[in-house]
Amino acid sequence: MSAGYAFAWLYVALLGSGVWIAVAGLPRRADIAACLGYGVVLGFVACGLLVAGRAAPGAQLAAAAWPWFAATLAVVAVAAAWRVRRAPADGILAVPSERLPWWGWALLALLAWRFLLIVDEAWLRPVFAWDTWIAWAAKAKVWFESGQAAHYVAPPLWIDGADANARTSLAWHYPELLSRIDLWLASASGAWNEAAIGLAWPALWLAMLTGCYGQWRALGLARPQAVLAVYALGSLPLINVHAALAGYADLWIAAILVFAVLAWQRWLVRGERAQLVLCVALLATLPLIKFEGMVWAVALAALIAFGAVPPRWRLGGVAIALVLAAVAVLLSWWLKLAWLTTALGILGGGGGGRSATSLFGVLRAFASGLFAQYNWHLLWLVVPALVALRWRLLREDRALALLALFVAGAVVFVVGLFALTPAAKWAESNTAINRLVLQIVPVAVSLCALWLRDLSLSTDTDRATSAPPDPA
Amino acid sequence: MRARLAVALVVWWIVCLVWFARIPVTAPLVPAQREAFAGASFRSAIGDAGIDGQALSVTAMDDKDGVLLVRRVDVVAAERPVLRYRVGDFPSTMELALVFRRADAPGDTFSTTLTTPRGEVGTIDLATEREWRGRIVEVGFAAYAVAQSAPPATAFRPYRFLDATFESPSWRGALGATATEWFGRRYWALMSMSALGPDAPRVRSRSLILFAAAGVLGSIALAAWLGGWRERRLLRFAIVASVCAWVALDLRWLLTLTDRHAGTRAAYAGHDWRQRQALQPDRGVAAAAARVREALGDKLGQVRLLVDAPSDYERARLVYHLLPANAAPINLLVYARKNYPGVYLVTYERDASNYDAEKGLLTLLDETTEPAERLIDEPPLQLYRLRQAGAP
Repeated sequence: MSAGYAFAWLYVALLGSGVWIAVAGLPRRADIAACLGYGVVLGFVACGLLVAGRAAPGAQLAAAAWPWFAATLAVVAVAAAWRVRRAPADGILAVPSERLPWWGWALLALLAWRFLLIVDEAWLRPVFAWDTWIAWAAKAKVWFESGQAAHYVAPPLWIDGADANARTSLAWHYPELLSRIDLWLASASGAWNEAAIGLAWPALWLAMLTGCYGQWRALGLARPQAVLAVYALGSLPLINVHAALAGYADLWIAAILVFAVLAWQRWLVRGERAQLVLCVALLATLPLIKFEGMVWAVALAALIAFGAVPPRWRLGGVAIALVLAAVAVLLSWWLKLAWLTTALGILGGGGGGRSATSLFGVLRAFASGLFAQYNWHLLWLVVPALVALRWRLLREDRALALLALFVAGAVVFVVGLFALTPAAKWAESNTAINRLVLQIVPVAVSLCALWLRDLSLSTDTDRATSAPPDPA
Repeated sequence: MRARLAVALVVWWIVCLVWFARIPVTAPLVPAQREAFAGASFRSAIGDAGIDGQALSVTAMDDKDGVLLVRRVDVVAAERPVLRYRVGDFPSTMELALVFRRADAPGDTFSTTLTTPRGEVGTIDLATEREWRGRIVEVGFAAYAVAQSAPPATAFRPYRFLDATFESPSWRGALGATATEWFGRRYWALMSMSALGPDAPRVRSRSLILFAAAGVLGSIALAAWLGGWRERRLLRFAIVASVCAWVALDLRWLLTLTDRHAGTRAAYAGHDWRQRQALQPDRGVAAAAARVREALGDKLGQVRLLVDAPSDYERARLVYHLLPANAAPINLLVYARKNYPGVYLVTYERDASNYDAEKGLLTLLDETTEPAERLIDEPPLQLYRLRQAGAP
């Protein structure tokens, strides 16, 4: 593997971590894990944005874009240094560091073995999965060979032949950030090397686990609990598959969404404004990855607005949330944004879908995906069990209640989308419904972990773990 | 009280296993009737194989990337619905299938996929197969690279077909069939990205996940009823039971992941990244794309190509293999235009007789005709240049 490629990875880590430090200050203790995890994601997103619009074909792109990359890193480094000097970190972690029991190390060993398999799989296997060679990698490959002057248009415009640089495909209107990340990795490796591109997905998986661990610790989970939750998330089979068979966008959505949600939770619980900044920045990238990202971003933004309003003004909060969501949709309609056109197409049956042959069939497919297939182990049986046993806690913990509301709303949205619209076709064929669920699964695992944070895993007499401190 | 609870838990898990494994409770523990056929009694109808003691050693696929071992039998399907098959060293990158003929339809061939066993022994309950009825007069075992996933060039490894036994229903047969489905070896499929379980060719068994869930939920209920524990202790028991079940399911998943990865290593390890990218599961489509690139030469970067093939998969793959050519699948246009001047049309496994060479007219799928010049006619691949009407 070339020095340029190795340097590209170092650049991702430095840039992304630098952004975290510039916003949230120098990380301490478990926040180091959060910084590293968020750093990988932020670094990749930044690199994808930095290469956009550069004319050079892929083999020369990295060299042509180098001044921009260097300048960006310099700006981030200066901002980080200034932030560190001004205030080292927001508050300290109050949860004492328990020693990890033997079973914690055993679970981590299972994750480590899995990671080795995932990395080797992504390294050895060329582009394999359907959407990868139809959408994400296809555009990147065209740009790598021909330069980014090649742009994608609707099929009737393409066949007119008026624009020599116009291309078309089944995915001509898909967001392009992920394809640009592919392009940048290929450029860094010096060739259209699918193994070099594919390694981003195992890294994303590891970054998601690391970032979640750090945030869960900051939100009051003791180390054994946090490791158990990391294992629960990392062991989920369909998430393993998306990390190993590199190329799909769903894992990116899942990672960015859970990072945004956990940053929001930290702001709610600990009052850390820097975390809110990170949350908003991550929300803004969701629609750039995949269309569903816009739905999650609008939903979460509305909930953040609702949550920011004091409880005595609850109705006003609901009104603000609805207005925000409506403004987002109207703006998208006015600007003719592709996500809305696509969504309306799916709802109207124009995207090749068809309504459910029977509602029971769709619900059965949905239930099968959650409970009977091998996708999620026992996760979706644990969630309702928690609801049944611990729903009273939601009355006492507003942040947790809002998180539960988000997860519940997401589940209702997914069920409604497939049960009541022409998207049912993709539920009955098992081709889309589980991947949409995958996008919210890390948030669901976070909900379970935080819901159980008061329960000690120590074999001593029960004791409450320390709650997160009041904001410094 | 603890002893009562322990016994109740054991009984509950056995009841769950009987239901989920579809064990016929009135059947004997071991099959009363068996009819075994040694591997050496089969002959190779497709591919190369040689007798190796009591087994048949399969050493090569044919040029269409398949293997088929057959023999005549006389089996009453209803009396022998359980097939126990033994295969040694069967590669993860290949799929095994049972092929059979019936006396009432000698001209027809029926088939069903078989799960690759962990170890050598696999079992399938053919009573669930609609076509397994009447008198079976011929059986065969086919093998081929996993479609759309394993590159045929590196998928095959020599293996040994040991024997096949047709049995009457029994507890052993039901447990064996369930164990084969739950713990058998799988390889990656396109569906694996969307659903695990349905990514197998057939879903035959009840869900292992639901079995574990039923076992855990029943255990918790029994503990609450018979254990007399307080809420907090019961909650801790529930968490421990759930975690143990989760870890058990995860160990099974890790085993599956290791199998799939072993198949990937077998297919791709030892090659550099360029060679790996050349190892495609659809090498016919990839070869067709290479031929088109060769034919168009320097013009490739300047022309537009429409691609037509029988399936979405082949169309989309042909477009990808042609990249960075400016290509699109023909179905995107829904034949919106009736005139495609200057556009090239690539057809793969389409009927070539729709081209009239004398008149230079190509009939498209919507039965309109376009003036065209045929540049390649090498079935299954054709390449046409669509011309303006009246143009030379």
